[in-house]
Amino acid sequence: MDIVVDSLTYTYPGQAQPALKDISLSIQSGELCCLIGANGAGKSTLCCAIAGFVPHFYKGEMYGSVTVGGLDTVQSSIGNLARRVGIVFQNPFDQITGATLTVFAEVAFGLENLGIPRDETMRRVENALRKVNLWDLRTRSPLELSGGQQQRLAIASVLAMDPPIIVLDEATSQLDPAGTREIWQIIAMLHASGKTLLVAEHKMEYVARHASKVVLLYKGGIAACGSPRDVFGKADIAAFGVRRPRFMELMSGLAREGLWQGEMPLTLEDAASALKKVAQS
Amino acid sequence: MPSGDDVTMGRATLYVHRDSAIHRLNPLTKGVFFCCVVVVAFTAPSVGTVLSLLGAVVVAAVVAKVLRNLATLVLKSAFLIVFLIFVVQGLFYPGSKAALWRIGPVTVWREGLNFAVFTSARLITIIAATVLFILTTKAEDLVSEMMAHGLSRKLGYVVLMTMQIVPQMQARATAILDAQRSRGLETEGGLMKRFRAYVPIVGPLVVGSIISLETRSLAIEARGFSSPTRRVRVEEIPDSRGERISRWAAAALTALFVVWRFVSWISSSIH
Repeated sequence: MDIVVDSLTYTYPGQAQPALKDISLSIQSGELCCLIGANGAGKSTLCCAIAGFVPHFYKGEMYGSVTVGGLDTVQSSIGNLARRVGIVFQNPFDQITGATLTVFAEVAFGLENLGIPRDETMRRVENALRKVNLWDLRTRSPLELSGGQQQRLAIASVLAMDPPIIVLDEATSQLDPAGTREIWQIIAMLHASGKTLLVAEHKMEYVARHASKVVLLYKGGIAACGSPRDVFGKADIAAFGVRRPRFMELMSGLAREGLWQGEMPLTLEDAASALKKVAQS
Repeated sequence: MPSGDDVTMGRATLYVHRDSAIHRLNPLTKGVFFCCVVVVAFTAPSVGTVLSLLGAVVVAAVVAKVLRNLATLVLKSAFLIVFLIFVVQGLFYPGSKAALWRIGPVTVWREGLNFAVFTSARLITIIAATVLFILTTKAEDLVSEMMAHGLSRKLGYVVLMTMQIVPQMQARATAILDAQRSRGLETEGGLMKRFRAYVPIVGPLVVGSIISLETRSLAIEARGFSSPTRRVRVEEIPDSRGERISRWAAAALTALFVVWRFVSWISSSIH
């Protein structure tokens, strides 16, 4: 299911400056698109616009349009959009509904709201919990889980609803390295299964490794858009508040010194191979 | 639908998980019986009736395997007020004539003590019924059943959320207090000093809670909370025909009892 953002400008209520300025963007079905940029660049606002929270929840002034699978988000309700777009937020704890006693019931919450038949719900919840490796904890209270487990629970809650599009708004920002790795393994698995993913992320190593498209936001506008190699290849990327992965900095340094030439590696493993060749030569 | 043995952590609830016939009753059945006990205890003509009700509550607590929890909570919540009832009514009951004991200038009146026994029995019965209901009923199940019988989804959610938000705000307040103390905020000392110390604690607590609630409301909206579709519950709470009949019967008998008490009161007033 495609996402098309056309000339989107949005201003929060009471704010003088728009949070998003003339954003035009197209994300194809099955793509893993990463949003990068400094804090305040507009990543979360764009995520909320695609999920329909902008303008339905936040109100404010919106110009332009966002369509999800041909459906205009302004014309649709958040409830209807929930069937197409699932969203996972930064803070794992705040996403727990507070209305359920077990991990199983927490994942079932959304399906119950959508009126999915009981047997179907049971099956979907089990599948979702197995995908995020939480099935063994299904009888535990959501409040007893660690931050990483709670974030996986939030993802399972979205997966159970089976939306074709999943938005993750800095879902790893409050997690330790192990928790971050687990979430990105799930993101990679979802990408491989054909889901359309929009991921706002600060951890550039994961963006470079997994993204099929990268959008660099700066002060509410798009500063660059393209493949990870295109965007991270921008010489002035640091001026937009983003740092490249360290191995890319190293390879760029070697290239500047004339010690290495070639296509910029996107993973640490590829960088290690390139370095090995440099050392051998 | 799996359910854990200890799943009330972090919630403002007194529910005690046991495998008992009382726990297995539909929450609405327990709710109706609880209301009937309260109404009958209020309108009962004699202390004997009230004590019979209390006996029934105690038997139910034994069946539910929560007698110790019940006794502890009832003692804690009723002791002081029962003590005050006995002191005030025993010594100052208006129109008393029969003195039971005289200790110096203090007289304990028989009528006052009788009234205190009756009032205390009523109070203890009502508290015991309330505590038994809370100890044996998951609030989630009760609200879920009430939503299935017409309670609005939003109101039901607010009730459940409130139970969770109290411990959450306590934990958040403790974290903020520790953080502010580590930066040199003095929270000990005179009244004014303590009052001033609360300003930098309440601010972050309120703002943090509002942000947290905003994220939560977005999260539940994204999970179809406002969907116009009728909610289909995964967990089936049993509600047998026998239970439904017993609910109606208890409510009808209680209504008849109240009418009988009202008619008795009217006729005694006329004569």
